Amino acid sequence: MTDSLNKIPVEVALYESSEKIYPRETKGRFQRWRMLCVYMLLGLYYALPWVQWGDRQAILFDLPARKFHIFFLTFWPQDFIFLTLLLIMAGLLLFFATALAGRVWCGYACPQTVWTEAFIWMERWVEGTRAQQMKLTAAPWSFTKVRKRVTKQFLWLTFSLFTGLTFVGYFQPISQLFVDFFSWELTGWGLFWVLFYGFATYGNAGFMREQVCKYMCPYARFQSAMFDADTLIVAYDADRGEPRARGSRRKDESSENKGDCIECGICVQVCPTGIDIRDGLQYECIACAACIDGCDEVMDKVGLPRGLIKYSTDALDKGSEKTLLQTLIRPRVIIYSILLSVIAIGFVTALSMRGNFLVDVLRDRNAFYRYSEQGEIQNTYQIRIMNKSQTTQLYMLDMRGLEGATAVWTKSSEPGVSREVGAGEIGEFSITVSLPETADYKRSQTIELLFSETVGDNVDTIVEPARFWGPRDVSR
Amino acid sequence: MEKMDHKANKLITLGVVLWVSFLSAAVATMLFFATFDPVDLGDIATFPLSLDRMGGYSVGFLLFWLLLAVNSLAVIWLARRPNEPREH
Repeated sequence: MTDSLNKIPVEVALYESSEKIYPRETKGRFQRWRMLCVYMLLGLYYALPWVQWGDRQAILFDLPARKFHIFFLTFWPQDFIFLTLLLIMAGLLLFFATALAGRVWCGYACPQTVWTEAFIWMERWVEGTRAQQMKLTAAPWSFTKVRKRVTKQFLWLTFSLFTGLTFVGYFQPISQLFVDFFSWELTGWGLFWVLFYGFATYGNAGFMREQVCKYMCPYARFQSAMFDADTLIVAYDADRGEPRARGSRRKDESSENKGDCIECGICVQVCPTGIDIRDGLQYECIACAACIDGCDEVMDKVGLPRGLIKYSTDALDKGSEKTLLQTLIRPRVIIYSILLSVIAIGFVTALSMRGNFLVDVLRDRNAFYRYSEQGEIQNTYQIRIMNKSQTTQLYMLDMRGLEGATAVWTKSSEPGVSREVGAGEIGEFSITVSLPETADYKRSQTIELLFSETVGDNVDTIVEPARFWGPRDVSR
Repeated sequence: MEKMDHKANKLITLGVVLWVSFLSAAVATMLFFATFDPVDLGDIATFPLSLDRMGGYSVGFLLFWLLLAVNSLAVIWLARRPNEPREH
């Protein structure tokens, strides 16, 4: 296959009415990897919401409370930058993986592939092999056909519903969700999203399958931009395979002109997107390597060496002598890895330096100032303290920037008293800053309010500026 | 057969529109509600609007989705130039 990249077929019509693809089951080393990935990823998806961390769910995107819990971390809307960084890192990781190993994401990890695989397994349990499935579709409706179809749909729907429930379980406590659901008490938006996600799973993995990859997936369209001659692809060795020969022509000893491809068609039958890999690299190929396993099995049977279809690169096919290391280290890969490490280091640093609490100060808008019974000038402020840590915290109040003034929590008699805010909660308080009439002051000046943590070894202080108003400018 | 393809093509277009606007709506929802709390928005609305947070996020997302989908469909419809061969 000397000119694989030039052989990309031009698709004339954007759409041809699709026929259902019945991928034939394959067994082999890559399919074992894929099975492992499916088990691992689906296992994680269904198990994670059940993991507890302390007295709460370990992973809970608590939308009603506007807090995201991920094990020991709690994210607030103010931490949006972390989510952004995380998404950028995920994107870069995808680019990096694509440059190195082609579409491994598509073949092994994409939810579309993983759930489709699970749905195909269910289909096989009920309806049997590829040939049996096709026969069943062609057969007239009979009791057996109805029974098999109903069983399959029942399995699919149950699995989808379970998937939808689990999805919503990431957003509201999952044990209560299951209890509510099975006692028919789940209503409103929770129920809506269970059904929505369940239906999406059912439609995407049961019916649309490879069409999602072909017509709807943006990554499938732009992944080729990350490709170069050293990217891992699934390739058919045309030099070795062509011309294809089967049956009597293959048995004919005198015929010199026969390649290793015995034209058994297995590689086409096993393909979940229904392409023929022997036509060269195509954008429909999700690099699942089913054709590699299928072909290897056939090669073993007919006594020819494996690898007629194999993971390869365009450069290798053209006879490149590069070592694996030389193939791995190239500008594209280096740039992606540098970008990725810089952002990852920044992310971890920012996360570890993230403060444990936040303070909002709002002036009381009703009055600029008032006099206390003792004749002091007083300003009041509304305070919101957001305790982002995992423990209850006590906050001390202090101030500076105005000679003679004192700041106290309203309704507390003396300074030095602290206020408590529970772990992950928001406390709303009010504070009063008092200044003796006899002091110097301006009509308006900036003061600084200091809020300090008091519990724990690593206590922080936040300084918030605020305006203090007096009746007029006074200097004595 | 030709007619079938045309119909299927339209269906695929609709699918693509719904899917792309779904993704965009998800991003818009995240950005919007990371900045604004639906409860506060309900309080300052010019007409009576009682929103709890789940309802706010959900309605917000569905509205974004609808808006983006309608917009994409309109663009596809208008971007088809008159000099392109008519499909029947």
